Amino acid sequence: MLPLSGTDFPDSSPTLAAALARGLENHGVTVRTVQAEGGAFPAIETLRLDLTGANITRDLKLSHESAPASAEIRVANLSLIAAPLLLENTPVQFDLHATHATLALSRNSDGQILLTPTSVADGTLTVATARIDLERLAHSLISEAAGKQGIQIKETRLGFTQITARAVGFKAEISAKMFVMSAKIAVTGKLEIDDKLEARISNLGCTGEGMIASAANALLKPHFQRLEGRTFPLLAIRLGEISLRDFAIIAGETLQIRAHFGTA
Amino acid sequence: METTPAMLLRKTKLTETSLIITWFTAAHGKIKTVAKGARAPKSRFAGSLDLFFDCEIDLVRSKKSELHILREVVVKNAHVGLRSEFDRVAAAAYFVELIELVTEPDHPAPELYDLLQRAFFHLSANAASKRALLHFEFELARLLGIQHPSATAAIALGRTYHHLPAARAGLLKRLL
Repeated sequence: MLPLSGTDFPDSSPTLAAALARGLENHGVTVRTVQAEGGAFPAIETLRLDLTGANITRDLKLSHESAPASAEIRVANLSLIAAPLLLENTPVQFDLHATHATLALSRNSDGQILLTPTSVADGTLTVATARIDLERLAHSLISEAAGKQGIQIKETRLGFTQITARAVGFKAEISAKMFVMSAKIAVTGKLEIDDKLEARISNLGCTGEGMIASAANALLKPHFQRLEGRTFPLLAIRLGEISLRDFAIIAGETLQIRAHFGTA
Repeated sequence: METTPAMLLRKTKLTETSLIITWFTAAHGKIKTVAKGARAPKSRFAGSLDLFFDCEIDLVRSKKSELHILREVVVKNAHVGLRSEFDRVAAAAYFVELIELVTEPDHPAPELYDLLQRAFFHLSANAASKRALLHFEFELARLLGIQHPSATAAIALGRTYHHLPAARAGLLKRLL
């Protein structure tokens, strides 16, 4: 759902563009440009959002509509790009293009206006991030969590292996220090993505040498049990009637997700 | 060649095949030895050099440096119970770091040796607790002669040695 500022539904392409930019900025997402051009509103020839440079954190919460759609906008060419945006300070390339998209205008429980895609004739999505940037993000998140336990993380190395077109294996090798103890442990698991663009984590395990690895394994086991099999939505928007036609996750020095979608 | 009871405090990689082992001994206090070949696949030290092990060691003292040569190790107590939980391991590691902080190399401290040994036995048989941690700090400060009625042992140790191990706060939060 894309939030719009203001209390009234936009009545022209320029007001839609301005409401989209301010609505996202109200959620802390800085928009580089919004272009809404051509066509006879509510039909628009081109709607293009550029989020390059936007800094998105895990605190961003986009609400969902609570009332049925009141109006809709039809867009011949829709694009949402970021080259890159920063997700928790990690550069992520994002490139979404769709043709003949219908976007519903509705409100959430606070009365805020939302723009929600309900159908598209054809669309493609590419999301890519460098392995080294994910490694840096993993190091930062692991250090934050471990620091609360008094554990210092010296180094984190992250690697991916392709399992199937929709699944990758991951291995995080972590060098940790606590008091006189130093240890190298490896956390492994599998990441699968389903037709709803939801990620599922499974096969979580921890290996390492000696007593400290055993102790770390015992410490991590309850956390692994909570995560095992859980799904996480990759997109903050509901896909509604839009379904995936083709999908691939590609592991390498860049982790890339490619999707082809449309309304049946 | 000398033989002495010793507790293993720290292991540090020296070369691809050797380790520096820091021991807390009954006879000489804190000492460092080289365990030649300890990292090799078929080492004679295999399985006998792990943190917190209570051992009897044979060493050849160096006349030139504080790094002596480790000849033999016999494990007397591996403190298996201590290794069963992360919190017990973390508490034992904290006690070791405190002992390292307050001792000088080759300086016998039989009371501190006894304190650390009792702490390991306690953690082998009991869960780690805030009470045990504070008791260790109190006994340590008392044996060092720095405990003062108006301050906690942690403050006394921090004042005397200028810092306490940084991970102490995190460990205290974990312990009940």
